[in-house]
Amino acid sequence: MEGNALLRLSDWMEGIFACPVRVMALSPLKGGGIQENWTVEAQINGSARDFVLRKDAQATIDASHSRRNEFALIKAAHDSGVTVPEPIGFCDDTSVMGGPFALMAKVPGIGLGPKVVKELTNADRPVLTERLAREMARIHTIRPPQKVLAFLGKPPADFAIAEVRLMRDWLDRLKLSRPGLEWVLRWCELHIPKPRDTVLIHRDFRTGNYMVDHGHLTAILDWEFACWGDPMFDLGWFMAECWRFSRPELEAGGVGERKVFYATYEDESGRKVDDSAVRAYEVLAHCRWAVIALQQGERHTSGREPSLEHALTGKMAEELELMALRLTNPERWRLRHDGGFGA
Amino acid sequence: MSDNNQPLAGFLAAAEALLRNKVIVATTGDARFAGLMVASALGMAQREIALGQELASARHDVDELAPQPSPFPDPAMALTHLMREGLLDGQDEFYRRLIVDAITRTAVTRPLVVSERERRLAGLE
Repeated sequence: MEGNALLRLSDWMEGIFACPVRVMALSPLKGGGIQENWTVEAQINGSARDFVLRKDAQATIDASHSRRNEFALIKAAHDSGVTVPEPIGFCDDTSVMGGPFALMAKVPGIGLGPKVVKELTNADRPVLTERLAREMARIHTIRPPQKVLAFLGKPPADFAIAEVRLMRDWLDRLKLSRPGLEWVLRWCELHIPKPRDTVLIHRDFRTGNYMVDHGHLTAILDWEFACWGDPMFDLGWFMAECWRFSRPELEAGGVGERKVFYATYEDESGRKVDDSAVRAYEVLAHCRWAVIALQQGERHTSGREPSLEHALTGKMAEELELMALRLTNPERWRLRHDGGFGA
Repeated sequence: MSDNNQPLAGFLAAAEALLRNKVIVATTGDARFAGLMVASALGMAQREIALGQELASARHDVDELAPQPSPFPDPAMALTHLMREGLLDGQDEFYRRLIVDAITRTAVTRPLVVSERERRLAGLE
């Protein structure tokens, strides 16, 4: 990163901290396929402190919030007691870093899903499972309307139906006809129960989007898809097999047991978990991730952002479609949510 | 696999072996990650060549269920329209063809995800 950028960032941060700031280094962080993340090493009034700077990538995907809105979401979550990186400030002056960015405290730990799942000890697993359930329940205490989250718009009348329509819209915009995914979306349209509640949902709450340090949660990350919706969606997304990595038998995100997560969530939120809805949202989760993978792949194939990583992500749609089809065989079309299609 | 593709598949296999055995094992960090991605892409390309006929056949079997004539430019779009209208809800034969197509495509991109039973169902054994 060129020296002038460090100076400009130092000046901007002095305005935030109201004391002398010297940015020593900026280095790109791995991960964050959708946004650009940078580590900022700085001296704040002479004391060393690290931050994360989050900036839009060259091309984003359809569902992403702007950095400004994502920053507002993190602040709202922080104010509600959710464990997130401390929000420091937002800058929309493009002369500082070439584009709007958010600055947050850097938190210790690892975030990469496969590594989290692999490195947890048996003692860590139930503790982390309970902690994640409580964090999710805290997010779900934020209810519409909220003035600072006005950009989220009005909650949909039926969240599940709105999600199915959104997925179809995304596929149409990609100019892709995917009969396998359409089959799954139609199943979701018919089988996901009507939501009983509307709250703030993270919408990407899964292993790989939180930080763990020595078995302990340090932050819930990646708020760029949050919206008003059905709280059961977040549970379904978290439980979906595609996010369990090398531990598919641990239904709660490859980390712990489903029943532990459910019980802790119910204890913290006072809300009964609708198992049928969660399992139906698990089906939608595979479909949604497949469509997002296709969007990522399109960043490469369109020539907008050529990248082998994006191209390979696009190829993940095939296995995700297969996983979703396994969950929606014709037998399961004959079962309604009140009949149960649990494990 | 057609005979025409045999030399290309062999070329890709040799490139992947070289990458895995000489380059990836000797690198760390970003270089290793990049090497693994390239090896993954080379593996996929080889499987796509090897399963070319099965891929085309599975796709054809799905497309065949689209009505003819159709106002849509391709069969997949016609099927999409029918599904959104609820005209193919839960139909066994349609599902069988869809899952065979998905199994075949996944056998190219991520073969370890496909079970033995699924491989048999898709005629990949």
